[in-house]
Amino acid sequence: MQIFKLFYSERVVPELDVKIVKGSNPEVFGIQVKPESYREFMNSHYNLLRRYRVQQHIMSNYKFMQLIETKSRFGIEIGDIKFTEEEDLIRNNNEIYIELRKAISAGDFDSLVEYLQALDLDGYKISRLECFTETGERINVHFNGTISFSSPLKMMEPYIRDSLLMDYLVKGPEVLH
Amino acid sequence: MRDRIIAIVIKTFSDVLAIWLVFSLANNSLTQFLNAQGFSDPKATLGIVSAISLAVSGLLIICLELLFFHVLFKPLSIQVGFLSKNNRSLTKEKLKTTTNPMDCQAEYKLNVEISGGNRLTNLLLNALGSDLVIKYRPDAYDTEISNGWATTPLQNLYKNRSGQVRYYWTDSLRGHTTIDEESAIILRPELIIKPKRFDVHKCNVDVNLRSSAKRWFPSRVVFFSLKTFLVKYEVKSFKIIFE
Repeated sequence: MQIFKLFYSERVVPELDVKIVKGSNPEVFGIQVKPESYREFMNSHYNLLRRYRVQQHIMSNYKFMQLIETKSRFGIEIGDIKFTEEEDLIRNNNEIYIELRKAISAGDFDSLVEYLQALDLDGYKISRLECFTETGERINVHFNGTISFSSPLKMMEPYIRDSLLMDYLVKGPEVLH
Repeated sequence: MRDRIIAIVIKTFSDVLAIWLVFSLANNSLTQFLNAQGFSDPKATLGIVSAISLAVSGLLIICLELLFFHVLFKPLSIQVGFLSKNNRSLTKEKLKTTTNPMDCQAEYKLNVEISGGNRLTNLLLNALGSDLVIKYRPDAYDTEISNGWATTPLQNLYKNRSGQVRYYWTDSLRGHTTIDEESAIILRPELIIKPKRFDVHKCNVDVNLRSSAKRWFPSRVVFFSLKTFLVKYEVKSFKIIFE
């Protein structure tokens, strides 16, 4: 699984000795990271990131839900939705969560959105959105501001660049206009 | 310091007014009246005229201040604090990174309570425009709004070039007359803060009252000059501790 932490910069993307994936918007890019060495990576690169005014992408429930609602614009289908409190939801047999799982399995998009909004109102946090592209490649969007995929980067790069998915996550709906 | 500068500017204005009064009163009925009272020495007359001018100009400035900032305008009170997602008052928030540091982010609400003012003050402040600037350490932390993208400039919550969030609040005053404390306007924008530098252990979040970056330069200058008179601003501090 390759994990890319998303960033944006008002200046040219800085040169780094790691794999970088770029969106169609020149300000948006993703840096390949390993969770176990993320702390060291950020501490050692912060001078560079500061010089280039690089800011990290921060994910929220709101962005997840906007992405789900506009999924057709990015040519994706929803595979699964995971929550930070997944274990509690299962242990407590949360009815809305059960209905959400049924809606995901049945591909009932309207009900999915409705149950998701209800869980959001109850304070549950989405931790991961699993999507499938039209060619069947799986791409995950995580709440910690990363995206991940298991397919080779070369195969995913054209989709990431052309679909505007990464640009949308980082810059918002303005990239679609 | 700011109050001192304002006091000096008012005093200077008062003195200039006094000098103008001295020259305009030097050859008129007041001088004749003093002469009739036996003050024939021109230096003594000038001294008395100067003293009277100083008193009159001082009184005029006080009356104008009372008229403008207590009768025509009434200061608006803004109290800014911080709340947790569950509306619990916050003075500090601890961020724990025991598992994955990438997952570390905190959410909080800015709690803005607005009361006082009157129709004219609210109208003026709404016209001039003002932002609350949420200041933190952009070299060590990144921030985002919970319900949207701070990079979108059309929203009331937006990020400036240095990465600090500005909250345009004055449009909430539209149509309001005097706002009672019991029915104060409460604004609670939600924000997310996420560390990017893990060797910094404390981050003080401060909120400053500024002219709005959405307004043109003359409006910003007028707001800067008048904000001391038009707004009583109080902010509680908030600290994020990174464990």
